[in-house]
Amino acid sequence: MTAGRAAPAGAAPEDGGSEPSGRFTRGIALSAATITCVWHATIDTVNLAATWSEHRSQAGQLAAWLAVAALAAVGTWILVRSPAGEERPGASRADTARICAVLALLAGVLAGLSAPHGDAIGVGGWAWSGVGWLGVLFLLFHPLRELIAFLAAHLALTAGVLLADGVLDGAMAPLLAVNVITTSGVFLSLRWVAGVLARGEERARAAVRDRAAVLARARASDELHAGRGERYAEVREGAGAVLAGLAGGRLDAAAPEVRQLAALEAARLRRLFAESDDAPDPLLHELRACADVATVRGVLVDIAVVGEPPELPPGVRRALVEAPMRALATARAGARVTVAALPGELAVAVVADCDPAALAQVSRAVLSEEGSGSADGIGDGGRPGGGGSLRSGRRNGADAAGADGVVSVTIQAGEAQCWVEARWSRPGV
Amino acid sequence: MLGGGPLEPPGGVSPRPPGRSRAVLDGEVRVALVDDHPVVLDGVAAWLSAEDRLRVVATGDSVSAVLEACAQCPDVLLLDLNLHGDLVVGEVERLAGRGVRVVVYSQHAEPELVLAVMDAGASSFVAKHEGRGELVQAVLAAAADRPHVSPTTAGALAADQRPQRPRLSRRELEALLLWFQSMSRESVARRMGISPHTVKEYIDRARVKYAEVGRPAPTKSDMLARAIEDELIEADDVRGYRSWAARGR
Repeated sequence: MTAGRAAPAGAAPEDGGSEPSGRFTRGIALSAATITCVWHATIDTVNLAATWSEHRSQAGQLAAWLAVAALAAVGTWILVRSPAGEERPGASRADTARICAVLALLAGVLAGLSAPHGDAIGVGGWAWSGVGWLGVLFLLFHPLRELIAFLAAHLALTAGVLLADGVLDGAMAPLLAVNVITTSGVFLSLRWVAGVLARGEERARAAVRDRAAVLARARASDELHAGRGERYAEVREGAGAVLAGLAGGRLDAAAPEVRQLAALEAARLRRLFAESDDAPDPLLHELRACADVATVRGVLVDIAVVGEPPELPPGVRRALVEAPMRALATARAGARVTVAALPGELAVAVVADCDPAALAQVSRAVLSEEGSGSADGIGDGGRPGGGGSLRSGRRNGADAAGADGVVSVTIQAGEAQCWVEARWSRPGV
Repeated sequence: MLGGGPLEPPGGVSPRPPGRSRAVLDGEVRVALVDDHPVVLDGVAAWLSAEDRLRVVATGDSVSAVLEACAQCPDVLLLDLNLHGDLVVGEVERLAGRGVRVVVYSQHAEPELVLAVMDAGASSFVAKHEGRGELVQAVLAAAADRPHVSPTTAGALAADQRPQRPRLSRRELEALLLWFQSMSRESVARRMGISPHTVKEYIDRARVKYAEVGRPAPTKSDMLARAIEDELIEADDVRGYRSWAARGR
């Protein structure tokens, strides 16, 4: 029954399975990077070397080759060294990738202009396909239109170079077209596969998130339900028993102890209602609820607060409020409620003109919480006149001990005044 | 310990106006009241007059009016903190700086306010709901430069987390906390397993340590000096007191 409350409030819900790791998109990114680098290191380099003496500008060729090599390295780095948690490799460096793609196009123009005359897509025009691979590398996970625009620009620039060389004639144009179809086919296929994998992973991620959200909602509603069940049980045991006793004639509404019992159960009801309210300071809110009940009975209640009470789990709040609540319920004319929040400690105290006999019963019941022995039956049996409802509250005490700290209750009862203090100490203090 | 000589007021602060010794000599404490509600003035005056050792010498709704009205300065000025809608903490500081012993009473009892009033040099703070007994005790203690701690003040001191707060011992803190809760020194004593006298010592010692917090004032140094005379604390315990004494020489 207390299992729901034992879980730390606000703990992250267990996720409904492991997050997809982005394995497939990472794989295709690595493939694109490998192909680009290997292509440049082997085919581009061999072709450049084979035509080295024929180039219009060897310096231009060397610069273009180095530029393509550098860009391939940058593209690989962007794709491979993605920050953890990024859904698609290189997503956070999208602008860098776009700038690099433009630089790749410029390197292509440089290579075309310094290649042997009219050989921009031949053996001497090694950069034609090398630059195309760079486009794939940089724009693999970008929208498809970016890669198409890149390839179109690459084609237009290359055609421009051929035109400038005066070789874009009836023989060259079909050759260029065949070249475009084969290379672009490869580039776009790879881009298509990457897109399919990325979308699949995104769907899987969304499914996992949805499942976690459903689980969290289910858990929250379980806890809510358990809390309601618990409160209902308390009400049934307490107020329910008093009402049943009154209705059945077993309890005499005129008897002072029955009235006190009724006052106590009224306070408990109010506190239970207040417990699930969304208040900025739940402890003070619950104490005020108890004080309200006493005020309605004509008791003058003064509440003084010093320090900032820390946030406490409901079980600890219950244990803290229980004994002061009983003192308030038995107060006759006046009560002073104090809340003092000190470092690692919170003390709730009530000084009131309690009925010593009633408080003695309260004392026995509440003090039993401090002991570790069995408190079964304390406060339950043997008390004349509707005794059955003054519960030991041991469960609250047990909840409060342990990981959430310890609540200790001290009671001093004189002839005129009683003084009840519940003090919570932070675990380890 | 102190060389037996008269205690010097802190350097740079004007000396206390005449009238201080009178309270000690003839045993009668002259009290002036400042409150902007006539009914409260009359009520508090009646409360204080019922105590033989106290004599109300002036009443009014502003500090200047009251201080003009009484020919000789009062031993203690009882001041409502909320005058005509303003919280007069600055007034407390000004009066304490002139050596006037001020007991502040107020319906506002927020801990921050209580601490501000203590820092300003008030001798004592009493919440209005704390009643006649606390008020009379506070005035008598103030006249003798002795500490007085109302339960409201005790709560504020116990929960004080400001960096400039003095170091209080575990027992002093516990006594303050229980005094804040209980309103009876005897029950605190029973709870702590010590005598009521010792409870008062713990609480008073904590209060005297606060005389070092905030701007120096003659009221603060008088309270420190008296606490040393009474052997409540030792001069060595009080850093500020020694530095003030050194400045006077």
